[in-house]
Amino acid sequence: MGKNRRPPPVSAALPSTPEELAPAETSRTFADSQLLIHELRVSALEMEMQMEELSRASEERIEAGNLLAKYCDFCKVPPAGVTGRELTGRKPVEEEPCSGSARLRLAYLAANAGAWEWNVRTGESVWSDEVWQVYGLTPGSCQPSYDAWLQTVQPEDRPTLEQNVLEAARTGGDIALEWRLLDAGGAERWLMSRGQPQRDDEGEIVSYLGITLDITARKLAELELLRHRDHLDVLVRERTAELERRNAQLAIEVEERKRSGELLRAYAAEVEDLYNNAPCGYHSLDARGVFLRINDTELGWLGYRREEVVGVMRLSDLVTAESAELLRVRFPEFVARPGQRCDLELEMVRKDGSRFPIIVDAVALRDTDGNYVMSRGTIFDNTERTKAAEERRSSEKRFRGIFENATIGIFHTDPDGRSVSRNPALVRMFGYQSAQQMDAAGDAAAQYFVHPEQRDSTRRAALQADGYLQREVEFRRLDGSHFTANYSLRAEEAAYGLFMEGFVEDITAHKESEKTLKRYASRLIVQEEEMRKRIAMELHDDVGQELTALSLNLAYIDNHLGGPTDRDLRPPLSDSRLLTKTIGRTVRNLMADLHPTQLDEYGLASAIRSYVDHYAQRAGVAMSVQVSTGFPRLKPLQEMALFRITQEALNNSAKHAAATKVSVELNSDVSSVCLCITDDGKGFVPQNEVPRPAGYGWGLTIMRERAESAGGRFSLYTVPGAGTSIVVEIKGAF
Amino acid sequence: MAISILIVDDHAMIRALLTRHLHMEHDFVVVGEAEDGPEGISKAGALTPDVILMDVAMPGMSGIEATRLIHDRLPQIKVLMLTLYASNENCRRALQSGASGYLLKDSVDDEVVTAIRSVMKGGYFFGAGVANPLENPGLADNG
Repeated sequence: MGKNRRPPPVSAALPSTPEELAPAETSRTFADSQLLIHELRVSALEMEMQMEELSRASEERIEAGNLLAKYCDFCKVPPAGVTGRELTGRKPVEEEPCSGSARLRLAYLAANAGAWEWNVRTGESVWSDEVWQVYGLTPGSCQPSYDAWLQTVQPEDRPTLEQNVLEAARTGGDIALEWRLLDAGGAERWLMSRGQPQRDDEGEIVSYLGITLDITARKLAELELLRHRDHLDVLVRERTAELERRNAQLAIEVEERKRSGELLRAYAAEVEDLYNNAPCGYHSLDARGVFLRINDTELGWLGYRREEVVGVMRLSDLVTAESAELLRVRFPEFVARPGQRCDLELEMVRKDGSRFPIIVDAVALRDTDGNYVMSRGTIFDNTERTKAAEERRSSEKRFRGIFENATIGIFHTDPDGRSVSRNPALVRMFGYQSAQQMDAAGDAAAQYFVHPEQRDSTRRAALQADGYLQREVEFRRLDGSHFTANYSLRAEEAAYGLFMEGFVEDITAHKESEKTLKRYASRLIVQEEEMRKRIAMELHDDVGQELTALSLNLAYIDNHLGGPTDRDLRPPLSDSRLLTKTIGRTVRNLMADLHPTQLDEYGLASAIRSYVDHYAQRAGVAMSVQVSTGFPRLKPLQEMALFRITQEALNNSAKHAAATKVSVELNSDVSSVCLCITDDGKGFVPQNEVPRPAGYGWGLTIMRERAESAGGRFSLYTVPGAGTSIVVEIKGAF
Repeated sequence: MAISILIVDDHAMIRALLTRHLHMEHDFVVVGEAEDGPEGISKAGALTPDVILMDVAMPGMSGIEATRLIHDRLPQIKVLMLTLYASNENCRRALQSGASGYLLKDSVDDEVVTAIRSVMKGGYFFGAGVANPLENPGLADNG
């Protein structure tokens, strides 16, 4: 590696300024890197200096050899040490050319070199004493020659040397060789030879004259240099890799620091946003009550800008006179006493003069000596709460009005039935003159909570009920008379504990009206049936017979039409006969619907069977009738009621329930009869849960009324999607 | 040989028109009329007609009851029930009483002649709109 191949400047990959790095770890890493760079630079400089020194020594040695060669060439003498024999045939310049001058020998000595001459024709050589020494041979120990020289060469270098020598001899060029040999001590030494061709008069090469230098020192220096260079390369690569690693780590840390900074800024912005846009107001006051900070929410409520308030106004400037007076007393205490909390209801005044109630809850921030620094207050708009309180008062007033003036009795008791409150209507209902009189009557107060014997069960039921427990109850008045009431009771958990709330509605008159209505309804049913029967009979006796007569007449006319003019009368006559039959069928069905004559003649089972047969055909629904053996005749009203219920139920099954199968069962035992009609239709939600489905409402009501008018009990079982069953049971006399 | 017929119906107009209608058949002879069940029983015994056309719904004794009494005494007489009610139960009971056929009055003009001839051959006749209880045992009353 030369001087111009220094490692790339590490500073280029580092942050431009230490300030860009994070304070602690980043600075430490940066300092480490700088130190590493410095060490690397020092190592590089030291190595370069060593390399330069070695190079210089080597170059000096080579320079000395070159000077020697040039000097020999200049003097035209064989190198010092050559024995002086004529090898090349040319005339020697001196009798003992290799004995040379003392100066020349000195030069040889200085350069650790010797001279030689090699006769290319004979292969013989002449070596100076220095050459023998350089080759590590005892002078005269062998016949100097090309082959003798080649024997001194390390075997692995020989082919190259021979090739170079032959090439020089072939081209007439100079010989320039470097090789190795092992000296007597086994140490490897490097030698270098330079030789120039000597030519005869014809220009043919006769010999080579040259010198050989020991360049071991230079070679070792070069090797040392290369080793140093390699070591330096390794060091540079290692340090560069380390630097790159640290640099990458540093870059990651810088990026993380940057992200952390951004997050911190985002958090700060978020906190600021939360502060300013909180659903409540925030402000801080100094010891004089002057605003130090205030959030946007509170500013929005007040209608001021921040610069109009902060450092300018006191809290007392923004409240009503009454609130300011309260602050005048409370705020100094708050400032002066550590641990004091300020929790006040104030009324603030907006910039436009309007007012609104607030609740302020403040704590004081103090220094280490307990001195007040500033307040930190949270402000809640109290408008809704104030409004709610007013509404609550208004509701309580309204409730009190209702309580006092209601026509139904209202009471509150503890869970044991002891009266807490009762309204005047309740007192009157039980025949007392006043609430005091009622309370003084002892257990009378508990009576409206229900009879003592039923109190526990009623209380449990009320506690378990979802909403009001509703019952129809018979009560006793002060004078011993009774009245029926709708009684509602519920348990309520209040702040002061469990209490019971109840309503008592006297429905005696209503019950009487209901009984009267039922009587009317029964009479109406009877009258309706009588009317139906009369109409059916009239249809049978009048219309039916007349239609039969008409049919016979038309048939007679038809039979006696014979003349040519009568031919045109046949079509209208035929139409008339057909029409008569159609009317006849209609009248027949009408009669059957109005009054089933079989009911009178053969009883319920027969009438139902006959009706079901016909209705199944008309409706296209599979219907079956099962009658238990010995099913009895019932009272006409009962048979008619069950028959009509059957008609209504079949109609519902076919028209509304989309049933495909209907079964009618009539069962009896010694004390009861039971009608059960079941279909596989779509069913429905019973009417006490949801509004009644189309077509079911009044039909069900009338069925129930008919059953009850016949002394029976009507039951309905239905589930959406799972069909419907109607059961009527009549017990007792029939 | 002529077929003798007795008509029992509480409506005079129906009796008269039926008589006229049956006279259109040369071999039919209406030998008598009765306006209720008891009279029908009496005339059946006196006239011993081949066929009785018996109204079902009559005041007092019903046509079915009258048929039962006639059939008990004179089982050779064929009784055809005439009615405005298409009641399977009535039809079944009429058969149980000994009737040989059951016709709806609104089809009597078309069916009565055929019905008379059918029962005279020893068969049963059920008019349009009347289910044959002999073919529909499910219609039988078990109660």
